[in-house]
Amino acid sequence: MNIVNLSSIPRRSHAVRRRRRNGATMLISYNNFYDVDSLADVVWQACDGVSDVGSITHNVAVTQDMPEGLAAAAVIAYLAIFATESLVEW
Amino acid sequence: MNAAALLASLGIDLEAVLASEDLGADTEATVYLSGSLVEGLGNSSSDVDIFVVGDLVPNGPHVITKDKFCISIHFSGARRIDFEYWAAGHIKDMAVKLEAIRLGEDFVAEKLAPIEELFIHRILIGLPILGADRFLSLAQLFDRDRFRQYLVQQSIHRIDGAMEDVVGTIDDGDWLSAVTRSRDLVNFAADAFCHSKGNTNPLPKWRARILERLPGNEARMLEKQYWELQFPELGSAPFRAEVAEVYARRCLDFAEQITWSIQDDDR
Repeated sequence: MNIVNLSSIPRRSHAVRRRRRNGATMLISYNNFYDVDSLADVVWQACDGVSDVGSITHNVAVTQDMPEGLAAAAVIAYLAIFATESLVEW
Repeated sequence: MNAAALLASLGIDLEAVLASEDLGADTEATVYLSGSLVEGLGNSSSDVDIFVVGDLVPNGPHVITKDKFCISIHFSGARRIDFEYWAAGHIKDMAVKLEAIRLGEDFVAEKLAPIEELFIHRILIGLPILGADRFLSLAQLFDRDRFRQYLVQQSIHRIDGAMEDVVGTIDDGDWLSAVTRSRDLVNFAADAFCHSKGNTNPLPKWRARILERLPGNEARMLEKQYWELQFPELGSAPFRAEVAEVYARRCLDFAEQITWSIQDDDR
């Protein structure tokens, strides 16, 4: 899926493990390791296969104390990367 | 409860048992009781495990010699009593091995042999019989929390290995292996959870009892999921792909849920 919109429903890929080491978080998929910052971690964890991008964005804005527009830009940017790397499914 | 009282509750006379191995109050060895009966896990078939640490050699008629220790076997009625003889040097070697493990490094798994893990657990829960001060000194060689953290990390490594297998078998449609390995995954995840909550017993046979005894709503919720995943309604092999995949994904989610909570608790 190439187009992410507010009604898209992302789900964490079953092939991905989230692990913490020395205070950092990484996603591991088929022996590929991805370091993720705290916001990316929040977004990835929110991909539960139930919440759509709109509600994920709203929750990120509230919990991270971000303007809704900025949260939407960040969430969509992260989801695009996750999709490219097959870290989420649709 | 002390060792003599515990054995008495099983109808075993401690003095008579010690006499069968010529162990008296003047012994220079450290003698302690441990094993599943001490933990309240054992049953009517469980052995009594008495450890003898020092330079003594077994005195009984039935002795099994292992790589690093000997077992002298006795019976009290239908109950088997094992005297495990260990040299003090081996105990100190184990303590050094545990201390040398760098927790948090990539692969801590299996730095200790299974028999060493079991020994450490058993000395940590042991009840002194002879040489109480010496027993305390020996037990204090082992950092309980360090050992527990090692077991947590080892369980997570096992989870990681099983998850890779489950993902690969799902991808390839190998449903027999997916289902089998998914169940392993659930067990490793339960181990990780129990170790994170303080359990140091490494034996899989007590997993369900240990999980059952953990207090709190989180433990009850996980216990419920654990049993649902132990006995899923999969039907008979060959499994239908859609049924097996749903089961495997539920197992993956269970393991991830536990691993996340353990790791995030350490933040």
